Amino acid sequence: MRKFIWTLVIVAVVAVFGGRAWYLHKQAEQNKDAIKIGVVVPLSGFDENMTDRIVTTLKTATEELTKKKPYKIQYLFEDGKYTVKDSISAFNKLKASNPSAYIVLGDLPAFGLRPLINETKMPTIVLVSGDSGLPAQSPYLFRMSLSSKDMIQRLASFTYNTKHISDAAIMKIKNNYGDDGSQFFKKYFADLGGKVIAEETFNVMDMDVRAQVEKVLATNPNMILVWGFGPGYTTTFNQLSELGYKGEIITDFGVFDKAVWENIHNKGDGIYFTTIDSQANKMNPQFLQNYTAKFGDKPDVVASFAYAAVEALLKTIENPKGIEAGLYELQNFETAIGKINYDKEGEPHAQIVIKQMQPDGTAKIVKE
Amino acid sequence: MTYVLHQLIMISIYLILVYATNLVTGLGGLMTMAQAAFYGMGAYVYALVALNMPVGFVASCGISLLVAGLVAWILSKVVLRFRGETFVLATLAFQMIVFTILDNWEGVTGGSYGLSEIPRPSLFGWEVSTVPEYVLLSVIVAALITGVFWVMLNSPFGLSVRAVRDNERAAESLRISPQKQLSRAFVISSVLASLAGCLFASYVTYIDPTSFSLTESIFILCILLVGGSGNIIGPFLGVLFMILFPEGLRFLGLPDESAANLREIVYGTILIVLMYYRPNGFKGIYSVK
Repeated sequence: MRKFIWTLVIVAVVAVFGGRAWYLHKQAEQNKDAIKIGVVVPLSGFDENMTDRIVTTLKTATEELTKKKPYKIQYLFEDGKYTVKDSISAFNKLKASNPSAYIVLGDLPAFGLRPLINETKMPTIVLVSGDSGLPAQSPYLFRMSLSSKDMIQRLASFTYNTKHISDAAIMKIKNNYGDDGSQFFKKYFADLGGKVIAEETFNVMDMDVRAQVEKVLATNPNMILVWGFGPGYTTTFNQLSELGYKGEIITDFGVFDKAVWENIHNKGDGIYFTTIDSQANKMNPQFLQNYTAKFGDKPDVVASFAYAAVEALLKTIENPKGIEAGLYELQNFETAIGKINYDKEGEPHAQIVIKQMQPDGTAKIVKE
Repeated sequence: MTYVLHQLIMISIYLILVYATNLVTGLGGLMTMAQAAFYGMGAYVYALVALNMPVGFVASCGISLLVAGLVAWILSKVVLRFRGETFVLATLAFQMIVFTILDNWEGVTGGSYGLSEIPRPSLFGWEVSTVPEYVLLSVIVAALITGVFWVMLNSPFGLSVRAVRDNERAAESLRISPQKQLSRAFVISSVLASLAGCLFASYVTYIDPTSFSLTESIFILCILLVGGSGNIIGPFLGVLFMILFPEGLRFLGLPDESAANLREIVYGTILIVLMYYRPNGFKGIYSVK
């Protein structure tokens, strides 16, 4: 009996994987002539929700936007787990499929992959990346996001010139994104005449930042810059409110993420944040319908970046000089995130706006 | 092809790390949580020397191993006063200290930005610049370390460390100094971990603190536990399994949306099943408690 069960289990496993292998083989045959794009993203972990939106956007938007095109695009996804080691593994596996370009999510994997990107001379678009120095590290790296430097410059000016606040505090994540944001805020705010009176850090997975919040609040700041992502970022908003902070908060577009908003509900309205002027009306209607059906709302900032990356890729694939040269040539290029202009370092310089969170979870553009 | 070669390099690097851990944990019976700290120390010292002093790969590695050895020797004076859980805690504390330094000493380590543009090795006129060349280098180094470990295993030193592990009092009655033998094992282990760090840094050419966190120490220990400690074949099987198995799962052809999570579930389940049926690992002769 035991032997029979084992045989049955083995046959079932072989049948399932054999069937799947056959299906994949057929699919590969169908996509033989497709232009392949390698995608290294964290498919597991706390970023998974964001990745899900990016994966859906890349696939669905490309499907809709290439319906009338003479070519086909196939995305090859690999899990980089947001670590250097695994991203290199994922990149090397994708390399075997000869992709024409790569899409990478986040600063750390992009930094780790930079030597490989240089070696393979593969144009790589980095989504959700803030590190100011990243695109300058390689002629093949292109950002499709907002750099910390650009966002912070805008926030410093907003704090000092629009809100007339000259003392601010910083709560930043303990990594290069946090360091980058804090460094630029201190510089730009001081240039304008403002002063940073306190600075504290939190870790990405922190669930209790009361000690840091208490220290910051002890300095009575009129404005707090919260710079980061992950559970620690959400916790900071919650505990600022819990410990009675009534002043202004400025941050990046992370606060507008559906998952973040759900976690800080009733504690997040009034927060100012930098973002792009996402123009869903410029997106493909069928894509919008499919996306909304899956996620229950319109594409968020991150999905908008992914959509703009698809638009840029489709434009440059048709460029006879190739994708890399094509990306550098994108000037005043209309996308779903407004006009982008790639400079010689691979910065898109997308249009930045400041929005304020409303009690119902929507956001309104603030006049500066 | 590059993908396979990359896995070979990672296998070689982890083999060195796990043999290093095996020396303290498998032979010495002390569960160390500081391996990633020495691994990181090796990588950072190598990178800093290679970036700032044109002394070549061998000298940069030499300096790195020397620093790791010195730090390990000083540390051993403190942590080897403890046994069991207290030793684990002491090494864990050291791991946290090193990570915090790597993450915060911006002027030297680059802080959370890490260090980039680390030069590739050049050995006596041999420029190790391509992946196949790097495979050759790392496999040679790993093979050498395996040989060294094999010799050490049955040498008087290896036997005395094992004697200390099995019964410290009895070993002392045979004029074996537990402190001295364990200290030697700890220093050698740290130096080997640092060598793995040099190889890693010169291979990826970019290092940041997250590659040397506590998670990495736990991962190294897991490889040893899964493979089996106290011998030469266990760590080898552990490295093959823990590096190749999750990579092999990439080829299952699971749907994109759920592939990564399903892979983690399959990986976790198989680890649990494995530890249930083989608590000493694939080929362990000593069970780490």
